[in-house]
Formats: sequence, C-alpha cells, structure tokens
Amino acid sequence: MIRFIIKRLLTIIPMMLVIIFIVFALVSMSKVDPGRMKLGADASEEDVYAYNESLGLHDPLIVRYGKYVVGILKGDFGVSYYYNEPVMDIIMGRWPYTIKLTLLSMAIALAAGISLGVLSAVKQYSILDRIATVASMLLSAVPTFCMAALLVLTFSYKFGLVPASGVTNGWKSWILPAITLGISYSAQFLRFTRSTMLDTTRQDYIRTARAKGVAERTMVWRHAFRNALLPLITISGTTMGALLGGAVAMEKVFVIPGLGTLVQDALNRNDVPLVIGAITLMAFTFMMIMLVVDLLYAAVDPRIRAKYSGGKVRKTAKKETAHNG
Amino acid sequence: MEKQQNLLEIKHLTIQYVTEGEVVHAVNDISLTIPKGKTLGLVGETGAGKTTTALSILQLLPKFTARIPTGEIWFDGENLLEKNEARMRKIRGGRISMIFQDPMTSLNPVLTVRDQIAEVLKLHRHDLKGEALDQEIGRLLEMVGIPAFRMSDYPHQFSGGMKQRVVIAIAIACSPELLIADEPTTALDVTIQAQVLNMMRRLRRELGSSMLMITHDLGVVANICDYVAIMYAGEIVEYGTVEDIFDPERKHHPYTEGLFRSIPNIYVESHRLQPIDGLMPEPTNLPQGCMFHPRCPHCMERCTVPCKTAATDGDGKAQIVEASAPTVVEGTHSIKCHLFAKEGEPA
Amino acid sequence: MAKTKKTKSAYADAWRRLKKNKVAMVSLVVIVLLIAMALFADLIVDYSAAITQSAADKLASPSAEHWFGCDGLGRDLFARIIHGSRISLLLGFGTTAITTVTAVALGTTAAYFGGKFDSLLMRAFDILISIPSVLLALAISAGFGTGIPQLVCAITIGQLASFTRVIRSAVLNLVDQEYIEAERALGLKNGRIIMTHIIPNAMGTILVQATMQVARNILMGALLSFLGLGAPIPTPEWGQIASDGISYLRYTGHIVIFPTIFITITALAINLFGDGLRDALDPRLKGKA
Repeated sequence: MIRFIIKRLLTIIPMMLVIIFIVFALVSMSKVDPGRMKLGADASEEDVYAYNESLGLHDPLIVRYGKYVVGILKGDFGVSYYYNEPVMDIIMGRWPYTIKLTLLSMAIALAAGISLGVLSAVKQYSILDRIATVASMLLSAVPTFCMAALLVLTFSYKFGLVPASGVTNGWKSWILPAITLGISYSAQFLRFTRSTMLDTTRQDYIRTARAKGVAERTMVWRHAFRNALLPLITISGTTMGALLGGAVAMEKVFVIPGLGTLVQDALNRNDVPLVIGAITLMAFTFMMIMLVVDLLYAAVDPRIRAKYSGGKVRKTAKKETAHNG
Repeated sequence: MEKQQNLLEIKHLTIQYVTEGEVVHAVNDISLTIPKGKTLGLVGETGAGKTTTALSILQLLPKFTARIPTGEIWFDGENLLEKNEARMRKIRGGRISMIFQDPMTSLNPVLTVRDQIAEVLKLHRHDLKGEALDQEIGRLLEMVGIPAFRMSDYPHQFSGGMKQRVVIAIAIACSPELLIADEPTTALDVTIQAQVLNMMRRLRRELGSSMLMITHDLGVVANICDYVAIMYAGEIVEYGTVEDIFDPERKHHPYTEGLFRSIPNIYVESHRLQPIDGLMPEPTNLPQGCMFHPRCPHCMERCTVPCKTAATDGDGKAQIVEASAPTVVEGTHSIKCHLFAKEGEPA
Repeated sequence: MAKTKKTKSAYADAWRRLKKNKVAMVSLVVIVLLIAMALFADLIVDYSAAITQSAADKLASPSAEHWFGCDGLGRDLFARIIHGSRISLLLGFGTTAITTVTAVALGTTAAYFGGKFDSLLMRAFDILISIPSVLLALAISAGFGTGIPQLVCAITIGQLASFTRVIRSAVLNLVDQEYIEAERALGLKNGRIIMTHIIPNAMGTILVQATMQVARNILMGALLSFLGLGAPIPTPEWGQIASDGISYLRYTGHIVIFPTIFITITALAINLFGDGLRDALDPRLKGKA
C-alpha cells in the first residue's frame, strides 16, 4: 500500500509540471507590463525595460518557466505585482476560507445526495422517489450563482434569518454559501447514487443474498451500497473539482475573501504571479483529492487493493451473463 | 397420505410478468411434486420458465412486475405463497436454498468468502459463534473441496469452478431440506462440470435433502435425477421417473422426442442430428391450444384449440376445466398431449 | 448483422417511443419555442430597447410597459432577455457542436486504433481533467482577455476531455464486438468500418451525450459570464443579466429572477428531452420482452 502511495505521488509530479506549464503559458500570453504598472505612466521606457528585465520577463517562455519551477521547489511562488508580497503568503491567508467552504459544501452534498439517492432507489417509484427525482432535475438546471441569489433574496433580505454576505458573523455566515453550493451539487450525487443503487440491486449477488434470507436493510447497506460505493467514490473526486469551481462563484456572491475572489481580483489587476500561484495551488489540491479518492477506492474494493499491493493481477474473463428464463 | 411424502408440491401455478402494456406468460398452470429425499430435474429450453418457477418457490420474483394469479406452493405442509416476507426470510437459506447459474457474478465481490458463508450461518444457526463459526465455515469449505485456509480470500481470487463450490457451500451451510440448483454447471468448463455434479450428488446424499435440478442438459438429468419434468413455454408437457422419460419404448410428448433427437446418441447410428423446427413461441403471445402445436409434426385440428379436461379442485372434487391440451396419466408417467387422449371425451 | 446494426427502422422505433413520452415531447416543444424566440428576437421586440438606458426607469418593477421590469441602468429587461437568448443559446449549441465533433473524432480514432495515440491522448486528458474547468477558463481569460471567442474556447476545452472519454469507451465496447472483428477479418478498410459501423452504432450515445452537453454548456456559460468572462458590455446575455442583478439584490430581485427562470427552463427542457432520448434509444429496454 505504501508503495502504491509513493508511486501515485510520483505520477503527480510530471502532471503538476505540465499543469503549471499550461497555466504559465496561458497567463503569460497577456500583454501585461508590470514595469509600467509599477513605475507609472510617467516613467521612461528605459526604466520600465530595466524593471521588467530585473523580473526576467524578457527571457524566453521556457526559461522563465524553468526558473519558476525551480522557485516553487524552494517554496518561492514569486512576488505579487499588486501587493508586493510573496504570493505564498497571500494565498495562505486566503486559503482557509476556500477550504472551509468547499469541505462544508461537499459534506452537505454527499450527505443529502447519497442518503436521498439510496432511499429513492430502495423505494423506487414511491412518492419520495418521484419528488427527489423532480427536485434533482430542477436543481441541476439552476445555475449555482442564481440559486445563491434567490436564497439570499428570500432568507436574508426577506426574512432576515442569515447574513447576506461576508464572513464576520461566525458560523452564521457560512450557512447560506455552504447550503447553496452543497444542495446544488447534491442533485448530481442523488441521481448518480440512485441509478448505481438500482444497478447494483439487479446484480446476481444481491439475489444470492436474498436467497440466504438476508433482511432488506442488510441487503441494501451491506451488499448493495458497499458495491455502489465504488463508482460513487470516483464521481465524488471529479465532482470535487467542479465544486471547487462553484466555490469561486459562491465567494463572489457572498463576498468571501477566499482564493476565488483572490484570483478574480488578481485577474482584474493583471497580477500574473498571483494568478498563476493561486491556480497552481488549486490544481494541486485537486490532484491530492484525486489521490485520496484512489486510496479510498482501494480501501473499499479488494480487487483494486490486490492490484496495488504489487501482486500479480489475474485477468478475469469478462463473461456476458447468459440470461435464463 | 401423499402430502407427508412430498416435500414440495406445486399446484396449478401461473406466473406472469406485467410490463407496460405487455403480459409475459412465463409459467402457465403447472403442477409438480418432489418427494422427500428425491431429485427432480426440470428440463427445458432457455425461456421456458424454469428459473421463474424456481424463484417463485423462494418468492424472489421481481417485486414490481411479477404476478401470481393462481396456484399454491406447498412446502412441508405449508403454502409458501401465503407466508409473509419475514417468514419467508426464515425459510430462505435455511430450509430451502438455491444455487445460481453464473458463479462469476453470484458472489459479492467486496466481501470475503468467510463473511459470505458466515452471513447465512448467523441468520439460521444462532448457536454458532466465534471460534465455532469459523470452524464450521472451514468444515463447509472442505466439504466442497476448498482448503479451509482460503476462507479469508475474496471471490476474485477464485476460479469459476471454485466460486461455484463456494456458492454450493453457502447453499448447503444450513443443511436445507430442499436444494434448488439453477443450471449449476452451465457456466463451467466441461471437466469442471463433472466434478461439480459428482460433488453435488454426494452432498445431496449426505445431507438427505431433496433437490430441484434445473437444466437443459439431458445428460445431467440422467446422471443425478429421480424424476423429470419437461417444460415448454411455461407448461409441463411430460412428467415421470427418469426411467419413464428415458425409455425409448414408451410414449413420449412430441417435444420430448424432439429434445432427444437433437442430442447425439452414440448407440444409434445416424447421419445428423434432428433439431426441432421453429422457435419457442414468444411468451407475450402464446398460441391457442397446445403450446407446441406450431412446431409439432403430429399436429391435428384439435391441437389448435383449447380443450376441456378433468381436474380436481382444492376439495378433491372432480371438475371440468379448460386447458391447452389434455393430460394423460399412466402410473408415474404423465403426458400433456392430444395424441394419447381418447377423442371425444375429456381425458 | 441486421440485429446489431442500427438500421433506419431502429431510429423509427426510437422516434415512435419518444413520441409516446409526454415529458420529452413537451420539452422538445419548449426547446423549439426558445430557439424560435432567439431566431425571431427582432420581430418580438426591437434590439434598441435592450440597450437603451433610461434613468427614470432604473430598477423599475414589472409593469404593463416593461413586462419584466428594468435593470439598474433602466434598460427593458424583457427585451434584454429575448435578445439575450441569442448569445446564450448560440453559446450552448455552438460550443456543443464544436465539442461533439472534436470528441467524436478523437474518441473514435483513439478507441479504434488504440496504441500510442490512444494512451497519449488519455494521458493528456487526465491532465486536462485535473484542472477544474472554471480555473482553466480563468487562466484562458488571463492570457487572452475576455469576450465571446475566449468564452467558447474555455467552455469547449473544459468539457472536451470528459466527453471524449465517454465516446471512447462507447466505441471501445463496439470494437470488442464480434461483428466488427468479423468485418476486419473480411478485410474491410478501417475508415469504412468506422463510418458505416462504428459511428452509426455509437450514434445513440453521441446524441444523448450531446443533448445533455448543451444544457451543461449553457450553465457553464452563465457561470463564466457571472465571473466576468462573458460577452462585452452592453450585449445582453442571460448569465450576464443575472449577474448584474445580483448587485441590486438588496433593492429588488426581479433582475435575477427572470433570467434565472429562462436559464432553468432551457436547461431543464434540454435535460428532460435528453433523458427521453436516452430511454427511447436504450437498447436494454428494446431487447427485453
């Protein structure tokens, strides 16, 4: 298992290098002139050139990229053009807000989506199932930021129950953003859980379990759900990426000073080092999440575990199950 | 009384699957008996309703689509169709257990073999705990020819034949009175088939269980069955002891004859096999009269219409009811066909 | 062969099933109406109404004169939403068309030929997928500025990887099937097998995926507009209108509510139609008697 983790971590390195390069190259396309920004419109061409030269901006892209990567290895993400502070320090100050929002929403999305999904699958065609299906269809058709606006309109401005924005009201500030984002993404989990559960309950081993005299509840949780968990874990990883994007929007609606707002402000201010640093860090976080997902996957599925522990993988022939009436 | 000897008695069982606007007539008015300690072979093509019959005994038919409009399933003096879900759970895996067709998919991939056997033991044999439980699991595995130390392995670590042995171990764990085996060897290699069959025969003898063996392989039937029921399009067309069915001198249903002609016979010199012409009718659209008449070489005018036949109702009173074809009974042997019925009067 | 190959009659079958599905049919009507609205926007209300500012009508509530009220600059919201449908829908359908064609081309070749191209492409997509698409869009806008082309680019690239994967695995399933093998054995040219057997058989999956993709892309477009990557001012666009409305939320909700309703109805109708399409094309339902 440890060997697997190390192997998996090693694959992250080249992937991160490519990601940083993509982001670096994209952002470097912008015609930003930090020298002019810094020294003002009155400064002479020579001074501006000299300033940019000192930042290494006239080097070819690949050289700048190389220097940047070497810097990262030393923990140096460069200095923000706007704040004139190390990028890492600024990011670290904003990071907790984004993490908090993402984790809270993810927890809500998973809890609501999975429990309702399992329920609707078990009680297929019931009223609850129908309501849940319609609700999830509706939810996944409303843009998250629009839903946030509607909820603010109702619960903050109309009923005055929760603050409309900011993070100065303690836990109350997090209710609306986390619930909006969580509920919005729970729709995906609900539909996915429902269909996977319906799929697993049709499997032969569920019939075997029934034939043993297993009670409905054991059948659902011990047999069906544990198998449905595998695809669910995979989908959770990718959804987390989408949710991270949604968090950027939530931060804008609710004025939360997280990484999302930071990137947006940095974009508006042409603060290239900060943009690259923040996006890189978020991509890195996402990769780590995917690593955790892989580990969870191995924890749940013995077949994957066997594959990881270095043993030979026996190829099982995929046999079409012949149906017999 | 007859009821004492017969462990399982199915009477006039009809099963339908109802889906959007379509009714699938899977099982049509069948009656079967399995005496204590005996094996009944249920033979027929794919889609004849064999598995549906088996699942109905355990009441494992799909909840939303399956309907049982008529019939009784008597097991040891109790009608299973009248039992509620909680009562049925006590019977499933304990007194009646089932071996499924495809061992590759019949075991839960995320649980160890030990856990899967332990589950059925815990449900039906409450006295087993801790060390004794593990010992019993080991003993069961050894019984089906798997070393006990492999109990902590997962299904994917076993081959197809081994998996089927595990499935069998689960099925015999509580020494069931009735063992239902749904084509237990179809998905296995030929060499493994023989091993598994021999093992099943031995286990059945040791446990003294009755068995319902579903198969389309007449060789399997000759090997391990005492009685045979031939099923076609949801009906039982011929029923008797193995001797009755396998005796070429006797009268047989044209479908049974067709079945025998379509397998190679080393004692009779023939140039080629003679398959039965045509296909089994769609269960959504069964023919009038005898189910087999569109394919029958002996088809007569009266085969194409339903007929009146004598039957006894629940109180033992004789009645005239409508059937697809008359049933002719001769000792232990019965055939559902016009060929052998006297014309003009209900058989 | 006749059984596995989707013939015209199979599509006729699917269409017949689809016609029976009321939800899908209502959705189809809604989609057609929305497209008609976008096409004939000028006939419904003059474009100038969508961009003319009027200080007196600032944040005006819905009335007989302004059906949906006015926005923060006093522009008529009804006109802005009607004309906004053009960019929103064009964005949704256009990006989907680009994504679909690219994904089908890449996914089919990768799955059919396998080998180095396949593994290289899948590696590349692994990387692409690990950049959340909103971040990728932000990076694109950082490099190339904001505007419709950048938006199209961001949406397309953001969705391409997952779409291609779906097509690839659908084609992989087909390639494994025996009749394709038989065709290869018969010596048919690869190009011909792909065009006459693989693509027609994968068409069901492609159609359903593409339909759902339109809804996803419309939502993504709205989100990116909200994040300031959308159409240049004063061009109306649904996401843009809603996001403008958020700044006035304290005073009035109608500027957000109306575009939200339109986005939601559009996405919902497309998704429901996609669901119906999938059910109609689903071979599992077909095979089972």
